[in-house]
This record gives sequence, structure tokens and C-alpha cells, in this order.
Amino acid sequence: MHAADFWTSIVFFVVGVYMAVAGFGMPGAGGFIEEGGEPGRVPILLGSIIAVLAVGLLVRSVRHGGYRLSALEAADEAETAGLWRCGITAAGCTFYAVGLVGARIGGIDIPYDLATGVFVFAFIVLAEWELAPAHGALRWQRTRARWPGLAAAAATIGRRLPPAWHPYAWLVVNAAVMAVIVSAVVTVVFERYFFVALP
Amino acid sequence: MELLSGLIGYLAQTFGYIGAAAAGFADPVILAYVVGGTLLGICIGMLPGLTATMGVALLTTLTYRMDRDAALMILICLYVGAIYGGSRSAILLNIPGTPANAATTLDGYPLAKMGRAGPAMGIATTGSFLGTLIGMFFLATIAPLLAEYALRFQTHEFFWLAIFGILISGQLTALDDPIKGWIAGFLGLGVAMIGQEGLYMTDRFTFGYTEMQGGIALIPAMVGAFGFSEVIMVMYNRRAEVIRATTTLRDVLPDPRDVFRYRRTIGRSGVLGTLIGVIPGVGEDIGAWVSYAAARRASKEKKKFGKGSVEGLIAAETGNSAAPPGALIPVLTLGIPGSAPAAVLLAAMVLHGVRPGPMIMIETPTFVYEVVVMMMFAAAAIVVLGILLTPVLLKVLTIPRERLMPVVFVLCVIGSYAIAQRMFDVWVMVIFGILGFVLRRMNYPMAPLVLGIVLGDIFDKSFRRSIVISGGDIGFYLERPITVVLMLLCLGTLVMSFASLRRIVLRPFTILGNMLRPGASRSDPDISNGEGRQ
Repeated sequence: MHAADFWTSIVFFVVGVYMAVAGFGMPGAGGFIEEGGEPGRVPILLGSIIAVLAVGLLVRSVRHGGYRLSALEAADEAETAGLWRCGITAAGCTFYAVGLVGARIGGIDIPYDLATGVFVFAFIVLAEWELAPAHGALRWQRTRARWPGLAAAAATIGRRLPPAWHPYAWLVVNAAVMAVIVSAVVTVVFERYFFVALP
Repeated sequence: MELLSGLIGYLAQTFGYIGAAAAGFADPVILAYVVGGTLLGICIGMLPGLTATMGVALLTTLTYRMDRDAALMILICLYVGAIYGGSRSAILLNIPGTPANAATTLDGYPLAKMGRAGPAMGIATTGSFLGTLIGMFFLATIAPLLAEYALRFQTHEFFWLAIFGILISGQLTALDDPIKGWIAGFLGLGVAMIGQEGLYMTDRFTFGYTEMQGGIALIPAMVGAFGFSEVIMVMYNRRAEVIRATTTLRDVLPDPRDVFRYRRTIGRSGVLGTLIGVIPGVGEDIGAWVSYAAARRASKEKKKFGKGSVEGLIAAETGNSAAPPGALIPVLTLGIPGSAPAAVLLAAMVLHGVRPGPMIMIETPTFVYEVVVMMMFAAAAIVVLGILLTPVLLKVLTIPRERLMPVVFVLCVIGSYAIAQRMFDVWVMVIFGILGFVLRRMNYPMAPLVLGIVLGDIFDKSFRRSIVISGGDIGFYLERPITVVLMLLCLGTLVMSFASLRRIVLRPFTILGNMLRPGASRSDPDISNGEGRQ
């Protein structure tokens, strides 16, 4: 954590100094702005406080050797995998929120419900792909017990696929159903009941 | 005698107002909202990764078109329900459903492992119900008085109150590392500087974007910091195993004997939880820890704590449930939130036309009592739903997070967009989500950041107005007793945060204490080497 503190303290120091400097650049007293009420006064104060606190954090991290590159602890396998999942989740969600919703691709506006459906489908498939073989059998048993008709129909279709594909096919079907339900419900609720002009 | 009769008269008047407010809510539709809001809250609280703040923030975006009473009833019921619901996953998964239930895991999970999951859930229900009632009592009795007193607060007091809020919140939410708590708090104040300032309409940090002139809206920022960042955090961990609990109604029925046996623990935890709730930006998790620590210190069965102590469990749950009503006391009377979910509730109240602050008892005199009644309904609902629906609710724990999180994120996006119907708020949500994730990974607490964003406007205007009024004369501040008290509180918070400063300040008291102690001498090694007993 000391290495991380070292780098973040530098970032916060820069932020603090930037705020203070920007505060000095704001309009000063004169005209209708009274002495003491200058708009830059609070950013200067806050920027200075943040910079001082960042220096405190920096000094502490330096004392603990946080400035050494070797101090960046090597993540274990589980942590690396977890961070990868976080990175992919953040990237995928950001793409959906600001890249897909309300986007215009090739001169065509992407409808909100389509964008949402694609996102939900992709999220579930990607997040569960690794777990599909383990969870597939359990879910299949549950489906057979609760909805035998549906299970029979799925089994008929499934016979044409190699057995190794079954958990993945089941996941894809599940994700597609979930995507359709979520996008339809959210679209209807917000458009019809909250009168939101969807992006 | 006169004081006693005055007190009785005040309480009778308070309960009269509460009765009148309750009668106003006696409507089947409102009661349906109570059930729906509490049930949703319990489910949100039960699911690790979904927090009370996230739930309240998301639901604010879904209820903004409803009328004020209905929307706030749902949000308050959700808040209380989520704090209670988190105890279920703490007991059965050893994972706190919300940060407020972290102390619950210490004794709840060992009890579940002993095969007493059902009774543990019953004890948690008892604690949560009584904690909410104790907090509610203080909310009803203290808030009107505090609001009246707060009318004496002027710009100087609000400035120092904001500073104190940031310092105490930063210290208590990051006990091991208050610097990080303070950085988060002042960063929050910095975020609030974005946009046109309120005195001379000058643009600050807008970088030429017209959308940024309106500033950073609290709800999208909160949805990002608590919603999107949770979605990312949840994907870091794999699922935990659920302890198969006994789910008969008899098992989870609270035992009245527990209430009598642990009446002192319940009373103490309720008062402590409420007090912690009142402190700006601290909240339920600290309320639970403080109550737990106090119960352990006072207990005759200290050794049982952490190994399945019923007293420990009841202390933690009473403490965290007393904090929400406590957190609403500064919201209603000063416009300063006592916790992160209370900050969202504050924004929701403003959205619905209420102006929380010292003028509340003048502008909307019945509102405080209506909030008390909302809390009361929520407390009743957690008992009824928590007991009757336990077998059904436990199924919530089996919902795969991989399927829940995309739905949560879809709601984060559309919820942020819906209030002002502009994509800028979606950007705000995304940026705060990623920032929130990074800060949390680096052990920066989120509560001071949120408090900073909420207090930014008050801080800015009060600071500049006070300088204009005082002409920059420090002596002006020292002439006002409330300001002096707040300044001393700020100084005390700073001093107590650093071990070396704390030792220096407390040394005279330690020496005095040792001198007064029977049999102590000046050659006491603890005194002579300068090491206090703290």
C-alpha cells in the first residue's frame, strides 16, 4: 500500500496545487465582488489543504520505502484474475454507458432497448463463461424439476449439439432471455411510466 | 417539579404530533409502499455488493415523479430495511450485506456455524427493531429542539460546522489512516467547487463546458460512487458459500427474554448508535462497531465475544439500526447528513421540495414528525417481513451476482440520466464510479467524499460571507461562543488523530489522574517516562 500511497499522493498534490493556482486566476475583488468574497478564495484554501495532506502522505510513504519500484507488491494469481475481471467490467460498462447508449453508428441511431439488451447479454455470458460447466448441471436439474416442458424442448434441440457445448448453449439461452426481459421492462417503465425521453 | 412537568408536557405534545402524522399515513397505498420499500431494502441489504446508499440513490431516481410523502416513505423504508437486511448475509455468509453489518459477522456467523442461524436472525431482528425505535425517539424529541437552536447559527458557525464534519468524518471512517479520510473529504469539497459559484455567478473549473456550469449533481455522483464502483468491486470476488439455515418460523421468532436479559446492552447500543449517527458523515458501520466495543467492555461474558455471543450480536444490530434515525437529525435540522445514505435522502428531500435545515420547523413544521412515523412504519415492517418471509428472503442470497450486476448497472445508467435527461449526468456517474473504485481499493473512505460534495456549497458561501462580515478579523470569530466551541472541536479532532500530539495534550490529565489515584507516587514509571496509560 505504501507504493500506491506514494503515487496517489503525487496525484493529489498535483490536484491540490492546480486548484490553488486556478483559484488565484479567478476574478479578484473589485466591481461588484467584495473584498473577502472573491470566488477563488475557497479553491485556494482547499487546494492548499489537499496539497499539504498529500505531502503528509508522501512523506509517510517515502519513509516506508514506497518510492522504490520493488515496493509495488507482486499480485498473486487470484488477485491478478480479480483485477482483470474488474478492468473488463469497468471497460465494458463504460462502453455501454457512454459509447452505446444514445450512440449513432453508421448513420443509424442505436435504440436504447437494443443497446441495453446487448449489454446485459454480453455481461452475463462473459461473466459466467468460466463458471458455465460447473453451474450448468445444477441449473439444468433445477429447470427439469420446475419446468419439465421447457426442459424437454431444450433437450430436443440440445441433442444436435456436442455434449461439451451444452452448458455454454444453456448459458447463452439464459442470457438472451434475461437480456430481453431486462431491456423490455426498463424501457417500458422509464418511457411509459416515468415519461423519460430515452437516450 | 416544574422541569418534570415541562418535560412531560413536551413529550405529550411530541407524541400528539406523531399520532397526527401517523393518522395521515393510514392509507392502504402508503402501507403498500411501506411493505414494498422495506422488502426491497431487505433484499438489497442481503445481497453483498448492494448497499443501502446504492439502493437509496437508485430508488431516488425511480421515485422522483411520485408525490413527496410516498417517495420519502419508500426511501426511508428502504434505508432501514437495507441496514437490517445486511444482517442476514452477515450471519449466513460471514459477509456483511452492507458495511453497517460488519460487526454482526463477528458473532452472527459463529452462531450460525453452531446451528443457531435461526435464533441469530431472530436476535438481529430484535436488535434492529429496538435500535430503530430508540433512534426514532431521539429523532422525535431532539430534532425540533435542535432546529430551534440551529436558528442561532450564522455563516461563521456553518463554516466551522462544515470543517468539523469533514474532520470528524475523515477521522472516524478511516481510523487507521485519518489523512486518507481528510483527503477524501476535502476532495469532496473540491468537487463541489465545480460550476457557477453561488455569490457572484463566476464559473469555476468548468473548462468551457456549459453543462458543467450547473455543477456536479449529487445523485449521479452517488449512484456512480456507490453503484457502479460496487458493480466493479463485486466482480473482483467469487461467490461465498451460504450456510443452510433452519427456516421455520419458530426458529426466527425473537425471544422476549433476550430483550429483558440484555436490556442494558440494548439501551446503551441504541443511545451510542444514535449519537454516532448524529455525527456528520460517519454512519451506521461506526455505530455498530462503537456499540459492539462498548458492549464487550461492559459485559460479564467478554470471552464469548467473537465466538457466538448473543449480547455481541444484539449490540451490533441495535447500534447500526439506531444510526439511521440519528443520521437524519442533522439532515433535518442543519442540512448536514449524518451518513452516506442520509446524504442521498437529503438530496431526495430537496428534489421533493423540502428545505432541510434550521428553518424546517418554521417552513414545514410537521415534516420532522412525518419522518419519525416513516421510521416507525419501517421498524414495524422489518419485524413482520423479517420473521414471516425469512424462508423466501433467504432465496435472495442464491441469486448469482453475475446476473444481478448488469441489471444494477443498467439502472445506474438510466437512473442517472432520467432526473435531468442529459448524458452529462451519465458521464458523471461513470467517472465517479471509476474514481470510487480506485479510491476504495486504496483504502480511502467514501463517506467523507460524499459529505464534502454535500457541504461544498455551504462551506463556500459561509467562508466567504464570514470573511466579508468579519473583515478578515480572527477576533470576530472568538466573540461567538458557538463558533469557539466548533473551533475547539475541530482542534480536538486534529489533536486526537495523531498519537504524538494526543500524548502531549493528555499528559497533564494522565499525571493528574495518577496523582489522585490512591497509592500512586510521582515516581510512577508510567508518568516519569512520559508514557501515559492511554
